[in-house]
Amino acid sequence: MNPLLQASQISVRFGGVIAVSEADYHVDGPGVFGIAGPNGSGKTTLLNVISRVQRPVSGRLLFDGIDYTHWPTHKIATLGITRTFQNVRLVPTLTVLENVMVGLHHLTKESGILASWLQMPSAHRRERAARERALALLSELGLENAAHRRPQELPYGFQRRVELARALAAEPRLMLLDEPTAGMPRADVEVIAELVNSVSTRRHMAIVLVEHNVPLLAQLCSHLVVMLAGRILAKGTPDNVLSDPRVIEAYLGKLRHRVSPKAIN
Amino acid sequence: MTTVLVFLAAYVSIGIFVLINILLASSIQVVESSGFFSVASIAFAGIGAYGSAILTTQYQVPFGLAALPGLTISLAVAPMFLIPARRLKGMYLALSSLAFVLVLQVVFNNATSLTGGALGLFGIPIDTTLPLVIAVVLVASYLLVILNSSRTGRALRAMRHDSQLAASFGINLTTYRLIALELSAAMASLSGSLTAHYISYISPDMFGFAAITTALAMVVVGGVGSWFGPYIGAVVLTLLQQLLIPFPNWSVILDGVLIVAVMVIQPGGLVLALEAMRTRSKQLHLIWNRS
Repeated sequence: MNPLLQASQISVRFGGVIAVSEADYHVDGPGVFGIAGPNGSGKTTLLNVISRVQRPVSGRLLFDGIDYTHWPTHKIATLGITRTFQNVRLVPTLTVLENVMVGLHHLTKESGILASWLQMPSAHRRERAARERALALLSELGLENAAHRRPQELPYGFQRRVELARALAAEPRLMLLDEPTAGMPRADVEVIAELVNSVSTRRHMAIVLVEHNVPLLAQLCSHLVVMLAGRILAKGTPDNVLSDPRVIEAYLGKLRHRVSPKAIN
Repeated sequence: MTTVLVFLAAYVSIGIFVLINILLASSIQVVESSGFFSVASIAFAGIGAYGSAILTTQYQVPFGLAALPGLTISLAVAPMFLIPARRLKGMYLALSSLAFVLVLQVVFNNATSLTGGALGLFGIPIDTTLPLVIAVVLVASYLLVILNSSRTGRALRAMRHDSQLAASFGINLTTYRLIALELSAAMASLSGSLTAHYISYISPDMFGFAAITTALAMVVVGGVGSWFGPYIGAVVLTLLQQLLIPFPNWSVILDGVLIVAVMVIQPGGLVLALEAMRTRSKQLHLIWNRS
């Protein structure tokens, strides 16, 4: 059985800075997979490589056995990979509903502009179906009242949820979430955690979760990777990884006494 | 009675100019909606104008057919901009379109046997009528309105705001840039043909820097954020320029002053000011009804 995603020997360099160095990363199948690590350890860069936003210096990317190392960015959605970004990246000139419909873009190939101009029934049907699908997703995430607002009119936590809805709209098999709870109050973090959990079980989907919030990762993930200085420092179940002395050292500095993972939680 | 007709005829000509300018300004807005601030529309207008002028004056091709070769050339040339668009962004990409306009102006000036050189072409049959221009603008408006609310329109707005994000969601930037470029080139080329067949005379300086300034002023004053912006800009500027006809040198100054004034007071253009007014009146309405 192939793993769903297999990224091998990925290296990324920005000028003289080595952002990711010969990282091997794989996602087996459905579930929540965490990536933790200090700032600048290469988590986001690795995510960018997997989503083909960043070109690696070397390495190979396989998704479900398909080598997509050199595919253009816009084909990744068709492959079944979508993502959210570290900072909210919604389009302010579109409504919330339309933003989510952007996520459906690659699923509605039939409604090209010629079909729309000629008022072809197929285009109308596609458009209506896309709208209904997007509305259903919005209400699933508790955003139905925001559908016709502009994203910038919504509170931050809601904007994050719209991003999640947009990523889900693309019907991915692998969803990459880059710090979905960054800058959120605790109550909102719990909402997102609940959403991630329910989405991964109900949709049978693989989710890669990049986070600084270690307790959240320990709670959600079945598998955790810790990165340090562009390398993968440790991988395994959250319990094992978080009790790894190298990981503790990376987060807390050198310790004289051994600390149990509870102390980090 | 005749004085009344002369009086009305003056309005017909203003109306035709307004509508042709709407076509030209919209063509700049369309391509801008894909994130490419291009002034190449002026060059495409030149291609359209010269194309139909040459064919009708030198080869006696009827007007309706004469506009087609220019249109075809514009459509064929427009994809050329995909090449600089691969590497350049923002102002640098805009400059590549400016270079295209200026190069083409040199061609119009020097291909004397075809274009009549700096003197231009005279005696172009006057075939542009108000109903024709209205029909063309209505068709263009239909295309723009549908485009705006379609999947393609969403893709364009997403890529204009954040091209990396758009690509991540399966939007092929090249495809949508091409759609915008072609629609823009077609509208600009037609506006050129209509101009040539209305004022019956064209020369290279009609498709140079001054034309760019005027068209840009319309787009900026109206606002690029919405398809309707250039409509407002074209109406306002064409009417103001009619007032300045007795003082020919002032019209360029007017363009400059208006661009600066709008940039300072309302950077989104008049269309944004109108929208703000509408929401304000809606809010007032709500307050009124509540009390």
